[in-house]
Amino acid sequence: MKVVSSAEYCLGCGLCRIHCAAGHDGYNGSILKAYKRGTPRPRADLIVDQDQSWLNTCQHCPDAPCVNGCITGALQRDERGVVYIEEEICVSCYTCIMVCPYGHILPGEQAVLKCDLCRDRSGQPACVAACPNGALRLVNEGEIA
Amino acid sequence: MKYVIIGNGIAAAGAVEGIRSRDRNGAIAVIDGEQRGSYSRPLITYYLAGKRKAEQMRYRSPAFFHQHGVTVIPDRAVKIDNQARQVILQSGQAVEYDRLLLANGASPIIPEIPGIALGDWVKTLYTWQDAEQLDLLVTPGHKAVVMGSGLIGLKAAEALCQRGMKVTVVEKQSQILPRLLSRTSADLVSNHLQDRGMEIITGQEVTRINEYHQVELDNDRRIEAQLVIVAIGTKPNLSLAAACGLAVDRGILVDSYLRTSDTNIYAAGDVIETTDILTGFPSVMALLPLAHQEGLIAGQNMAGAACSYPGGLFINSVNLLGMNIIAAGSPQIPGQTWLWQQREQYLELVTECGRLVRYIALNMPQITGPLISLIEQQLKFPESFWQEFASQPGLNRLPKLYWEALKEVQENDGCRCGAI
Amino acid sequence: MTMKMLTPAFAVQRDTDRCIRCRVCVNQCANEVHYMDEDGWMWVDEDRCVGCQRCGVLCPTHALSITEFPMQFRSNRYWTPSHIREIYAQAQTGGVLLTGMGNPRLYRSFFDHLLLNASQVTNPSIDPLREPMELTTYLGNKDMDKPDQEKPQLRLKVPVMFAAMSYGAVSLNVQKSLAMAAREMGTMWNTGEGGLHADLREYSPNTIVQVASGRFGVNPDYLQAAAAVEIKIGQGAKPGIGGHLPGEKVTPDVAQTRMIPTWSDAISPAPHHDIYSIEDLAQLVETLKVATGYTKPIAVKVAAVHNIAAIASGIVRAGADIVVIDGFRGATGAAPLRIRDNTGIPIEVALAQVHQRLLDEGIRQRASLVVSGGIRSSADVIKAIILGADAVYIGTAALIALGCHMCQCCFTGRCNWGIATTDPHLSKRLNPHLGAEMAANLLRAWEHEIKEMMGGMGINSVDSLRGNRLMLRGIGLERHELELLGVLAAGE
Repeated sequence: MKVVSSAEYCLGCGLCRIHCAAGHDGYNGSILKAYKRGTPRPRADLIVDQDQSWLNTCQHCPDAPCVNGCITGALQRDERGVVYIEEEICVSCYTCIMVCPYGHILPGEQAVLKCDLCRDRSGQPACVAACPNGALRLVNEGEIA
Repeated sequence: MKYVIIGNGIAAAGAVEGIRSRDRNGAIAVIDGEQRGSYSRPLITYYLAGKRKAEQMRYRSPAFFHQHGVTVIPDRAVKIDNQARQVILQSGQAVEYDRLLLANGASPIIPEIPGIALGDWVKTLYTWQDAEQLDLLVTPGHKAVVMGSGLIGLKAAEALCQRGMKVTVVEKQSQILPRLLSRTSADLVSNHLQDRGMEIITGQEVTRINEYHQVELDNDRRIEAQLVIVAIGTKPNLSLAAACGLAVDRGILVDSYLRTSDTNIYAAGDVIETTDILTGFPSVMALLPLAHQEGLIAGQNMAGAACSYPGGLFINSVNLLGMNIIAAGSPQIPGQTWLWQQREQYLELVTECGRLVRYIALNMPQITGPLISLIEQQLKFPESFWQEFASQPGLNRLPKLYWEALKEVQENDGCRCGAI
Repeated sequence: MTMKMLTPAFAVQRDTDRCIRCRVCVNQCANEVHYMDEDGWMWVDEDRCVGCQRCGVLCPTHALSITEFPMQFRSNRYWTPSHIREIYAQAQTGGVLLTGMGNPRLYRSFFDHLLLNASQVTNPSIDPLREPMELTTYLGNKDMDKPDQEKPQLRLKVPVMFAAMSYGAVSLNVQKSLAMAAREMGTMWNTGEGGLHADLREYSPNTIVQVASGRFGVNPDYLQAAAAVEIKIGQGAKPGIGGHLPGEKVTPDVAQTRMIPTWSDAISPAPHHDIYSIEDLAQLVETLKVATGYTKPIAVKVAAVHNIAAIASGIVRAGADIVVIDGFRGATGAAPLRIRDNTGIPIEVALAQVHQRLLDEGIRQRASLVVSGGIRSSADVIKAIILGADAVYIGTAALIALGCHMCQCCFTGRCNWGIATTDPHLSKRLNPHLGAEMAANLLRAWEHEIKEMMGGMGINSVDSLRGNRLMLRGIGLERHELELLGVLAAGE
């Protein structure tokens, strides 16, 4: 299960990252709260390459090298196959960033950041719901990776 | 099927996962020589720095072992009887095996210099117990000397600095992190550390430690030290293997399925000699991601699979006093060098015939993963590409074909090995 | 350097308490109205704003609002602000004023003065959720004297089709959206005069192709790849003149589809230079019938102008299977402002007159009547059918469903919604899968509303509605207007 980004329809507007940040860290979807009074931390970066753009978000690989390399076991896979980070255990050693072939993990001081498919919320991942042009889809829903 | 694993570190945990992916019923026993449960060895420097408490040291939880049906035996293995297929423990207990995994790791190298055994203020830092004992000796304001500027040495020095000690690092080679960094990058790191209060001495060796709490160098300089940490390197624990006749060299010798010269005995982790896939040379690469990967594959093979392990890539990520250092590939590889630097960010690329063979990145972690992929896949690009890329590195500056292949992987629910 | 008389048309207000400086407005405005400076402050260049509302719609915190720029002239009902500003523009450029979309001026909308009947005691209402309601419509010649092989029909599940909008005037994604929606809803879409793009071939069974005065893209394959062929004599937005596709919109893909050179203006001549009489038109209609083996209805589209009844009669006698009349509210991608706003007549009266004339001459059954030009809702659809139409085309309404915000700047090619542009970067903004869903939803909604209104009248088949003028009453109309429409006044 993962979010797939289509460069054909991605407009590079960045609304996905804004809603991602607002959907985590206790902001409960409030963009104003996250951006005006908080420290918004989007979980993926937009890659813009001239006329093309896409959201470079974690693919929750079945044999994830980040889970393999994590020195504290903070990176784990849950029963639905979602690779997530237990933030209190992470020591920001960046081994996971080093071994992800796609740069899906972002550095952070208290813990590294990456897509967790909004596992703490119900409904669609925030980015998928926010994309104004249908460039993001959740695929392999329900399938255990 | 009875599986026995000697060691309870990273490779052991990987092996449990590997075995259970194929065999849910076989009995698994883990011989935990250190008798501390599964903990992450790199975390001991965080413990020493006060950044991690005892309950935060674990690598895999007790629930993990329970869920996988693993019996953990807190005892030390003293002998392998590979005729009777038994492991004899210190307590005298004999544990039978059908398949055995040697994951008993390495030990620090102790130099033979006078004074090395002077007392508890001259210590190696390798086990959690070492960290606990050192912790009691840390006194802010006191002086410490760290022998060796490898990763363990510098992480130890960082921990002591962060706890307020005055630290001097003594390195025999002419630069710090000689196995990891180039000269230029090593100087940048060294300057960064020295700016933050660490003293670094290169090109000197410790010849003697005296009872007046002084460390003597080969240029006759003496440094005061209430605490000395010995971190000049580690070597695999080979005695168990050698004693039962397994082939060993720098480490336990294994084939591409991680089997030793005894077909019922496998080996994985810091104890083995494997191949550096970049140079093709045999090497002991004591790196956590490799240890887990090797454990996983060895475990799968012990349970009947035939996954081959081609060897590893020498990669490392470490943060020292706020500087992030990530490097891949080793200094022995020659090639063309490309440099980029902007404020605190530094990137050094080494290419050979258009293929990336090495890189060193300071404070720019995000580009490092795809660069490793470029190394592993040995993708070839013209010189003009490297020149352009090195002039402004960034994820969006990677070649289009890299991202196109990624999108294909995305659509097909691919995994890393089938990536590019 | 002359003084720039024109103050901005729109004011862009940014609520700084809500603005999170995410720069979505910056990267989404094709006119570069918004920008962030090196210090991170957000600024607006209002002169460039065309009022398309893209920034306002996408702003994640609703920090932006677009209003008319508050620069008021002294009140003058005759010399309106539009007239004054248009003169300033012409004094500056010396050029013909261009515009897009349909006539926005305050002329009488007859639709808004017509009221529907509903059943009360007798002829009880029908509940569309419980009884079947027939909206299926067949377009084509219904003359009993003609053999069936010569009377091909177009079958529509709902009497609303997507109007002609050419590739070049609109993006390929618009055409894809409409083609997919047409297929989904069992109706037709129209290629307009820009040819049929290869990617759209698969929608042939739902495609009407146009043969216009420029004959763009017309070749034998083109005719075969359609369910019907429409000869375009004129359109409601610019009767009497030809089409004009500005060179900036003629990308290589557009050029290939139209079979013309790239990046140069594509002008369609005003007349078809081989049609100077009704006999010439009959000849072309017959030629197309022969070329398509009599398997596809041939339609003729004209703008609603004076004497439209006589023109329509001539078209029917020329052999057309479908007559399409486009009223003066019809939209365009580019037209001179004066022609769009001052030429043509309303579709309601045109339709009523044409329907009556064909009935009187006993030839109404020889061709279906399709109307367009300002059909805004399902209520307009029903009224059009009651006035005599077999079906309607929707253009503007379809584009609004796809995201159009009626800023009337289609001719610049910088449509921020990816609709009236061929710029690939802007065209991306309309995902055809989402567009198809929105267009199909519009038809779905209208279909249901039409059934509700029909049911309210006690009618369960669209055939019983067609031309049934007793179902309408006029309100606020003069006596002669009522007579032209053929309806009684409310109360009568």
